Amino acid sequence: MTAIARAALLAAALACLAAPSVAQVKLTPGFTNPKITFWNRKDDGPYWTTTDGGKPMAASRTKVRDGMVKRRVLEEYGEFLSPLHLPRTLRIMASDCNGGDFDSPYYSRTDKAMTVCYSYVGLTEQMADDVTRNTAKVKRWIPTTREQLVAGEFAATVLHETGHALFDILEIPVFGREEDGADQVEAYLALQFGTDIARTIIKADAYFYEWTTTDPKTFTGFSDPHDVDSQRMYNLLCIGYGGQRAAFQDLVTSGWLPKERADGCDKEYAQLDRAFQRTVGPYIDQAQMAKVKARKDWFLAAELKDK
Amino acid sequence: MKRMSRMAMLALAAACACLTAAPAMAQLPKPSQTQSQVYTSPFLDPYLPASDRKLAPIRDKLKELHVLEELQAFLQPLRLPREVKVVTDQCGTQRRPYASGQPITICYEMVEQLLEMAPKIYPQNQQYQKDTVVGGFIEAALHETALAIFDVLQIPIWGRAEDAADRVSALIMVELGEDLENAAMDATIDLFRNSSEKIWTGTDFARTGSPDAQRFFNFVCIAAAADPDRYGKYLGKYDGDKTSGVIVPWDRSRSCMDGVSKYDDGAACNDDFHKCYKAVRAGTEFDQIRKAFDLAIMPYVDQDALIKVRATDWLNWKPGK
Repeated sequence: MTAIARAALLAAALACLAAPSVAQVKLTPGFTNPKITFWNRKDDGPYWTTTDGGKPMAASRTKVRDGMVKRRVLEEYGEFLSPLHLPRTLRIMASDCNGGDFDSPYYSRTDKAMTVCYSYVGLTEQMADDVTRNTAKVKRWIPTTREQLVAGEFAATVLHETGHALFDILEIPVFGREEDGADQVEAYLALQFGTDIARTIIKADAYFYEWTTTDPKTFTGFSDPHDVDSQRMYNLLCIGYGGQRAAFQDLVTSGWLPKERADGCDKEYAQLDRAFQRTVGPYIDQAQMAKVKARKDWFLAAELKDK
Repeated sequence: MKRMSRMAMLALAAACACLTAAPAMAQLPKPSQTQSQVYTSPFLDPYLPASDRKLAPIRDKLKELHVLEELQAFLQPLRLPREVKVVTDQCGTQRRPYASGQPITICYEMVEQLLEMAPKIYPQNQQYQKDTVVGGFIEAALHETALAIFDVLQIPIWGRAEDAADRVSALIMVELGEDLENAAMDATIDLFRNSSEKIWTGTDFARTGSPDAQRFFNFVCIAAAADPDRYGKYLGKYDGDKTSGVIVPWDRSRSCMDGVSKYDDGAACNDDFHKCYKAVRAGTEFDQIRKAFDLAIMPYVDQDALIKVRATDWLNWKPGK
């Protein structure tokens, strides 16, 4: 064994010792689903202290990981998905992904697993700081708070990946671009749990794209299978406005969502509603969904406030 | 670009050549037992008048070539729950997007634009110019037809409907044989690649459609997975690949050709995924749209009629044959 390998092993061992043990996740009674499981790794439980490849996670991720464990983020996500009748099991986990500073959560078709990356949460906090400090980097179209942005962006990203998981596991025919479809799933789900949650999730993700966007200057800048960030932002705002016009009226009055686009948003939402009801709706246990909707603790009160 | 002798290829359109039986999709309307489909009215001239003197010759040429009759003939295998009329018209703009209950409309202005663009793309080659016009016409007709199919079959659409129509168009182009593929896909790629559309900025991104550049990559991605020998030349084989002809960056190329992560580890594939494209088709964007088509549209295609369509020499098609 080389010195480097020994050092790596030692670091991994230390990381494991330092991290809280969450080998057994405990779910809220009445919100379990045998097809929604957690990808546990030794004493880490589903909150891995390594990268996906098994290398020790960066020390800077410890705080984020601890916060996620304490908040029961993955457990709550699993409980939130409990109404789904899935023909195949979906696994949920968190890790340091590829070990990069900006790793984005992802769904793996091969593993049927959804992974939340610690570094992405850190990026979200950076975004929330920039937006709420009112820097020149991003315009404050409508009021928001740091808590709202961090929590909303996390939920938005997880819901986006849920879209990919649903397309794959339910074998849903996807005629448009899948990434756009996953954005639609995210926005649609955000709108099903009341005005406050809808605004928190959609605003946070729209601000995230406002913050990250760099409009392509060249032809190849449009090559990504995702829409350009600005497109994603307007799509989200449009679905929000189309689905809950009164709740999102300030998007239009502030000028964030151009009126030309806003006028057709009810139709865009109707198309999305049809698609969801036809392709995902039959897999939802409505009684369990009613229980999920009745629960009011998905977000903290502070995370749902605009100011 | 393979040469095309006439506009006839147009209609191969929505009668996709995928012959594998597809599972029926729950809750879709039942396929009609009648012959209802895309049609031209037997009572009214579907080549609507062009009052613009520049467009009148285009209208006359389309009528002389019987392009709509041929479209109707090629779409014969489709069994739709209700009829969809198709016309050509002076629209006042290059496109009149399909709207539910309205006819599929091919605008003379769109053909005029193709006639203007083709010499700019191939200034020295008149045959290529003609092929570009023909292929562009096919793409436009397929796109509007796809939107009509979505509407009539009440197909749930994830993503933008306009992108979905492009993807179905691309699938039909690559699934109906080399002639259509070469004509329509080559022209589509050329037209989007040479688009005069300005790069989008600011609130341009609030539009409901996709910029031409994005549409270009969507078409190439499907074409390359379906026919790597012909269209793989556009794809970067490694990060920063500057090989002549390469337009699609490595990240998207991998997405086009390798949608399954387990193949990422294959050194041979990473060196040159053209060598192993057959193995990695599953999970590609091409595979995804083909599965969607098989699931949601193929149940409405009459297989016997489809065989007849495939057996017909459409390049030499004439009315009444």
